[in-house]
Amino acid sequence: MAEITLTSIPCLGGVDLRIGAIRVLERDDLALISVAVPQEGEAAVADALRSTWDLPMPAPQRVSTAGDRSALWGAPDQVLLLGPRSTEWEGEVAAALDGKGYVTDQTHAWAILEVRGPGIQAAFERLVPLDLDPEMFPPGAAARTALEHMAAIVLRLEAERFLLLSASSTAQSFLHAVTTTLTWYEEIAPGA
Amino acid sequence: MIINHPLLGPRDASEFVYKGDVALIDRPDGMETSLDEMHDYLHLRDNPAGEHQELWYHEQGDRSWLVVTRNTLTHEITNVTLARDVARARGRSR
Amino acid sequence: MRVAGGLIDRSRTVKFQWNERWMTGHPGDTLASALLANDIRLVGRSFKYHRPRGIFSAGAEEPNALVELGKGAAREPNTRATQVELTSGLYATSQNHRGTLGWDWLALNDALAPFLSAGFYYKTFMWPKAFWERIYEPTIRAAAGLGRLSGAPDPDSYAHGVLHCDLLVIGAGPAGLAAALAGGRAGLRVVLADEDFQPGGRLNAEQFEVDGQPGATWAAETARLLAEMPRVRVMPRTIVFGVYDHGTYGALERTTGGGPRQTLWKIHAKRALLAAGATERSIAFPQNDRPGIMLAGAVRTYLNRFGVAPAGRVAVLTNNDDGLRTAADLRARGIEVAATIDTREGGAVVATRGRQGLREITLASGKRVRTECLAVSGGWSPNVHLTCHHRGRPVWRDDLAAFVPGGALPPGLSVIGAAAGTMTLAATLREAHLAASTVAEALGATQGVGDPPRASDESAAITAFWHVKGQGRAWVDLQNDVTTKDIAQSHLEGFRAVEHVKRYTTLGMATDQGKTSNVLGLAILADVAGQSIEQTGTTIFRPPYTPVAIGAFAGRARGKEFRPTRLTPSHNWAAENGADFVETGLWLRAQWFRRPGEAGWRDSVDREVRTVRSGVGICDVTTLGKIDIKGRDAAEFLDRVYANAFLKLAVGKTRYGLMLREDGFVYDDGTTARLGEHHYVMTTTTANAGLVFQNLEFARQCLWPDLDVHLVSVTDAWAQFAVAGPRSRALLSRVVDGRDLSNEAFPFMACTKCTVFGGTPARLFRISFSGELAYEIAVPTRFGDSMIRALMAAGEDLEVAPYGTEALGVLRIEKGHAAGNEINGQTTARMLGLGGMVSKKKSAIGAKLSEREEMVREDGLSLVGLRPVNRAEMLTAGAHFLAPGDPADMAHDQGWMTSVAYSPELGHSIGLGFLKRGTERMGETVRAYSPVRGEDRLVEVRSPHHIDPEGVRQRG
Repeated sequence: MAEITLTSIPCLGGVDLRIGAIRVLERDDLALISVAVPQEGEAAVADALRSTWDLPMPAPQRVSTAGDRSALWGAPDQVLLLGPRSTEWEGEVAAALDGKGYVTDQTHAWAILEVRGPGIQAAFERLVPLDLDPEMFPPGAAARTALEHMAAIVLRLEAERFLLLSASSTAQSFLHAVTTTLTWYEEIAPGA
Repeated sequence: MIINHPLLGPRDASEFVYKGDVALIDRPDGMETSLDEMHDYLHLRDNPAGEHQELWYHEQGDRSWLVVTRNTLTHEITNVTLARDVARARGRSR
Repeated sequence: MRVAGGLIDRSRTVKFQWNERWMTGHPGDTLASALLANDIRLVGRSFKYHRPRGIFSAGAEEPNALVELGKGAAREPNTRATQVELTSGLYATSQNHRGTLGWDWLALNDALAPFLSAGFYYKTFMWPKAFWERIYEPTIRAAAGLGRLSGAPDPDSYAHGVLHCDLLVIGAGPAGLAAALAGGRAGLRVVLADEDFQPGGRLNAEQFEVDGQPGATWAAETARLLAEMPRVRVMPRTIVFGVYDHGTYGALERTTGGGPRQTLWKIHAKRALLAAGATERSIAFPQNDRPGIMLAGAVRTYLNRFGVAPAGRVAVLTNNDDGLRTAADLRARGIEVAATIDTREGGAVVATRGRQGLREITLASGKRVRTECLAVSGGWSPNVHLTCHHRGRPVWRDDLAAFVPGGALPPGLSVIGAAAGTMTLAATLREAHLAASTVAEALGATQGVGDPPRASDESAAITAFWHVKGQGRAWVDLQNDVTTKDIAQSHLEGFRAVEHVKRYTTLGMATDQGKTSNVLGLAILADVAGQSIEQTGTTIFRPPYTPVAIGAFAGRARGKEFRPTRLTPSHNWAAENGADFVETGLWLRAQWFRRPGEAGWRDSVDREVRTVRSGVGICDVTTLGKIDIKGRDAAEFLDRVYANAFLKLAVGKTRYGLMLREDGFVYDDGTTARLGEHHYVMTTTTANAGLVFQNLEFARQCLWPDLDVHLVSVTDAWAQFAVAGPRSRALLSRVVDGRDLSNEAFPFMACTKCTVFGGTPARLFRISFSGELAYEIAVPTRFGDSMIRALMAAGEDLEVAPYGTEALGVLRIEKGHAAGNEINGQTTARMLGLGGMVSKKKSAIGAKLSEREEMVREDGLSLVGLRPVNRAEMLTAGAHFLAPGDPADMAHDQGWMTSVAYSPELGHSIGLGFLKRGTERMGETVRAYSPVRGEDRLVEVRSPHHIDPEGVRQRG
């Protein structure tokens, strides 16, 4: 059956839309790879991240970044690596961490939306339970939380630019929650 | 209700799931445990009016189990620690 | 009628409808002020006696002017006209009357009032007993209640949100504004919430000066200053209705214009200042409920804020200096003050006249005074409500004749201004400023708070006076028609504690929760009981401060959005191919795939089952929980969480795992595959996926914290398909790249990582739920849609077909595999015939307590198969087993039928069930008795493996 090959279809069909001044687009170009840190193995993982990509180990609720690769704090013994979605990068992670951490590709477990634009922090007040005040949640902050009963990761790239990650199976409900909230915000504060 | 996660700071209770008394950590392992010991572990709990140490799970967060010290009379939370550290301090290892 | 002045915008006109009549008002009006401006005095009917009622107050405390807003599905009952912002096209109607507002035939109740005193229904409707259901209850139900619900789903939308701040200031009157200003200057993150659409509170209603400006001007200017501060958020139209734990406050914001109609906010505040002000109360005197009798402070509000005089001639009745200011303000606007009656000088009103509106009052001297409005002040009660939400109990202060906050306040909350009993302006402003400064200091703010605003203190002297005794009813609670006589009667009949009086008389119940009547009621009760108010005590308050619509609590969680929906990777393909979907937890799964010519679901399911038994079928099984388990101690960990042995599972092999709860009952089951030296993938049932993960995390972190084991949920990461049937190997051989799938090379229970269709990574497991030769193949989720299409294309000549959850169920019942119906939390391993799997050599979760005597009884239940003696009969689940001839009672109960299906392969109905000593009773006939369905069948006991009991097919 050599004539058939499989295609990867974005969880949200590559959605890209504008609601007022805010843009919502699916980021299907990113890979998310979990690295579990073995008992007493933190130094080895930290070494591997630094020597391979110049990535420091992230502090809780923070992201460290080097070029187009980032490391998110996931749990006390877990780091999530975010980078370009390509087989090379996935192979690179496996090779770099071989024997030092337990690597599990999580790319397909999550749908990723980038949301950006002026007023986004105020708009998110009706979506995200976290305190997004820049002092508490500056660019480079990330947190796992729940949005409308769905698991989510909220990552602040810039003051008015976020990544929102949610389980791929609930991607449609997640998108609906995001667009409803942004539409409300636009209706409450048109053009804000 | 807010739980002040030792690593992540204050988080809304809706992110957490409740389990019960911290004594659930003290599972009698090993086949020599008597049925009665196992029964006591599983079914008997203190029901203090006052400080209570209890297990909460940060399900919509970092998946940490926490030990929360909560006053059952006032609902005041005076301490929150990672359950893994508590378990080790109570002598659990492998 | 309109008079000069006020904060309304007279340059613009707003048209609205009241009881189908078009009227006009101005921006800045409330519905109440606009109605008064249009000389509408009668606005509603009281709850019990249907007495004519007029606007009584100017705020949240309003007991009388409850109206319905909007039409059709959007109709909202019991809205306080005093808080409704007048908007263009507003449609409002009066409520609680039969016939017109002016001619309400339920006003008959008023004539019957002597028979309808407190507790009348407890006494009256006792006999004859048979009348209750058919006559009394329907009649009372029809008459009871205030406004009408539309009966249709609410068409509006409601949002939820979360706010975080250093300081929450509740109320934007003088205290709130001064506190927010100090907090804002100090650099705190401040939220200032106020129920009104116009910040200022009493400053908008009075003629006071602050910092040398008119109070209302200072309020507007301060609100503007605050709005410009980047860390301050001014939230008008937002009522803080409840105080919850750890500095969490519930607030409801009404939206004007677009967006959700309301937002329910959770506000997390490090500190809060309650600046909720005070509410004026009335005095009980005969016939004191007529339209036109209002609170004196409300008269000033209408006059000073809205430029409305409730009548051309107004009398004032007061027990304090504040009430006297009403007379002064009226005169200043040229309104005639017909009389000023000060109870401190022996004045009183002993009777009133005017059926649908006040015409005349009679003074203590017997003198009759013509007046259309009587402004009454019985003093002010601090709004202590939120201080009670953690069971704080207010305390009485004789000097104020009022309850002030007492007991333990909610942590982090302080009270300022009139809410704290500080009844004069200058003192309030100083107190608010100081309180905010203290908060700023405690939170480590470094910027200065500035100076407090300056004002002078007005006179607020009061001498308590509650009740003019005389002929005729004197109302205490206008909304519920509770009179002084009802309270006396309650006391006489032994309902003497405040909580009892409240419930016996209904004092302080319903939408206004007694905001104007509670303290008056307590005072009357104290008088009747011959004790002080302090001794009498007070009821306390629960959230919400004012009613919150259920829709606001529901938020977006309504209808299809009640909870998130999880879709399988093949969902779109299934929808294109005739699938009917069924909810399983959050998931939508294909239940069966309809084909042209199939008359009903059974046709589709029977065909799908036959496809799997004779050819090859595909089912999306992504919904099963999948957990990647990694670590040096992963095998040891699995060996402790599963009841059966796992230490020796080889790489490339899969094993059935039985999970017990610690109490020894079966919890969950599934397969676990070893894909690498330190890498396992566990599957759980769809239903328990989240819980099993949680329990594994508990075991890993809390029971054995030093084991090196790590868990990642990969349920959403992999699209997994069962490929089942005799031709499954033929199909998968075309799909899997370069791998020998022969029985020798890839036997039953083998597993491997592989690639499919020329390079897509995949996982392959040779496991079978159907009992046929079968596999499960997983690809990364985004390839799932492509995968199902490719599998169908690759198997076209093999006549591959999809099957849904219903066929999956039939297949497993035919094969005798237990599922949710069997594993319901009361099942032991022994009952499933798996007792031997529970290892006695290790202390796995549940192993110890599974040895309990009752759980290992020789005569216990065990899983059996069943078929009807008369093969044409259909079995039903839930039927109980009885020995033929035994009576049908619990003493003779021998078990029950758990699952049934029609087996296309066998051509008759089959079942699974738990039967006492079942394994010893093969071939016996028992009754399957279902009194609920009226069924009584003879069934034959046999092996649960209805097909292929030796398991030849799945190993082939």
